[in-house]
Amino acid sequence: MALLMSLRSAAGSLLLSMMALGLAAVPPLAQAADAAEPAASAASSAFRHRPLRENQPPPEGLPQASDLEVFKGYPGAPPYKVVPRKQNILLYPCSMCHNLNLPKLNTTPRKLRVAPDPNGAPHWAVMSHGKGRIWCLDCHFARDREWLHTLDGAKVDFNDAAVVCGQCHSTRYKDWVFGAHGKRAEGWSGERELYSCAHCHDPHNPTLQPREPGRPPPLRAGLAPMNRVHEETPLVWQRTQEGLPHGQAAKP
Amino acid sequence: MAKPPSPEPSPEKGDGFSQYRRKFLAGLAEVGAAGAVAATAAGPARAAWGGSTLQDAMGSLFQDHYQRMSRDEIQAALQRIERKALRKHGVEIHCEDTPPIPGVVFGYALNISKCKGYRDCVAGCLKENNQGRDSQVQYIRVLQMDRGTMNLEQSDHYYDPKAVPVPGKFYLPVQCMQCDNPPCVKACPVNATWKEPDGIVVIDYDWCIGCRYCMTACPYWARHFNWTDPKIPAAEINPNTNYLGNRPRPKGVVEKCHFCTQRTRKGRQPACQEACPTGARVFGNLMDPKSEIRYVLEHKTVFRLKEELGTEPKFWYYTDDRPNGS
Repeated sequence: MALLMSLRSAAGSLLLSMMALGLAAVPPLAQAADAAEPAASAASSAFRHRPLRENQPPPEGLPQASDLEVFKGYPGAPPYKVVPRKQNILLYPCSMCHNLNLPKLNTTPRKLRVAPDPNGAPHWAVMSHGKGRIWCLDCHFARDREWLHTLDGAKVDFNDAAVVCGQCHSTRYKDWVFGAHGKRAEGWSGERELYSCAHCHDPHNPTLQPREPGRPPPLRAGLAPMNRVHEETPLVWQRTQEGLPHGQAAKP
Repeated sequence: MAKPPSPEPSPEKGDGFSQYRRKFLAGLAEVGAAGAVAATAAGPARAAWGGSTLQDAMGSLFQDHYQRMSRDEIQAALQRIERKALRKHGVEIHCEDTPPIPGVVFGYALNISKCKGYRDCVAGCLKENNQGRDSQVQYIRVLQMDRGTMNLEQSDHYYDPKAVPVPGKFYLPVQCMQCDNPPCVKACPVNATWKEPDGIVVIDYDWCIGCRYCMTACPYWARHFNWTDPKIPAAEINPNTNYLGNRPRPKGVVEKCHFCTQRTRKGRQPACQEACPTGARVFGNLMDPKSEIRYVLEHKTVFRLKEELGTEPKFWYYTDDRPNGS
């Protein structure tokens, strides 16, 4: 009895100390009287979130755009060279046609005219990459069409297109740099040459289409391929003594 | 077996019984040469014994196990192989005995998110490794599996749709896994197959007796038997061959993928990796910490087939799928 009394008083003092600290996890009956007051004051002033300890703003202030580092590649990656791709571009150099340095260049994303329209471009001008969210000048450098550009304005050669693709497809780019994506040309040892992204994925139409497979393995004459036999016929141990599977009637 | 005393046992001359066998063979070669000269003097050399002359037939009959042959004997065996290919197919091939590169253990990884079931690897392997076109020997078998299951018994490798990949399926190419604990090596009654220092499980086709115990032991259906004489179109024969690899095989021996020893032991990629148009295959040296295969094993979700059997295969599969779907 005395033990219970001392426990209750200890619990009571604990309750008081917890209320003083403002922490939760108290019996609801005791809190009801206290909860009414903060609710009344909250209704009068604007509702403010009580910040969690983890979400405090940094003491130095938020990072500025000028503090950002430009991505320069993975430092631990094994060295590599990219198989050149420029020689496969049909209409190259681009300055054959794009040599008018117009003072005002319309860089608004819009739908362009394409050949066979007589005033249309003889190359890709409308594309499905990103389901219409990307357009030409997001990758191509408007003022010098023989170059690509990154989002921070650096010029990128056509052969290094992986740097441009890697801006959005960062995980794929990391895999490509380290060898888990793409293909290594030449040998497994020695000079490491990788195929560029554009070797397999046309940036203007990147979806790879299904194609016909190679021939199936040959079968001896008279045999039929044993496809999914176990779905049609029961396995040996499932047949009964009469030789029929369980629950199946005898065929005439 | 007690070895008779020999004056100078050296690796060149061999020691013990091999010396006496060599002397016997040398005497036989003289007899055979005389016989061959007589035969050619009589008329065009009639190729009996599966395309060999008497000298070559006798030489190959008494040919020792690869691991016991001296360098000269191996050279003689290589020349026999080249002569036989010339007589049989009319093609001059070059057979070598490329040793394994020290400090190298080969590993292979295949990205099943990239494999679309084209079977370009199968065709590339056929051409590179001089396999019979009408026999059922194809080192790589591409299994078409239902998505969501790893039940290999319900896979289909005779698939032939109009366009591939078929929706709802994924493709799993299976070839010799070059196990580190190979059951086929344990099963061979004559030690015709063994694991080389670079991790490749090789076969000495001249020592194989064709009992096919290894085919029963292999859990990956990787080994194939030559029920018929392999017929290779002469124009398509690959002349760069290796003794323990893609040299033309006779009827009645077992063969399998050997990671293209004629290529990989010289730093080139295996033919399946070069043939794959999607870049799903990653080959390299497991001992090199900066190789691509090591990056795949350390950073991707990899698995091996029939892991529970304890064969320790060196062929992994991995995917591109990431938890956040990127």
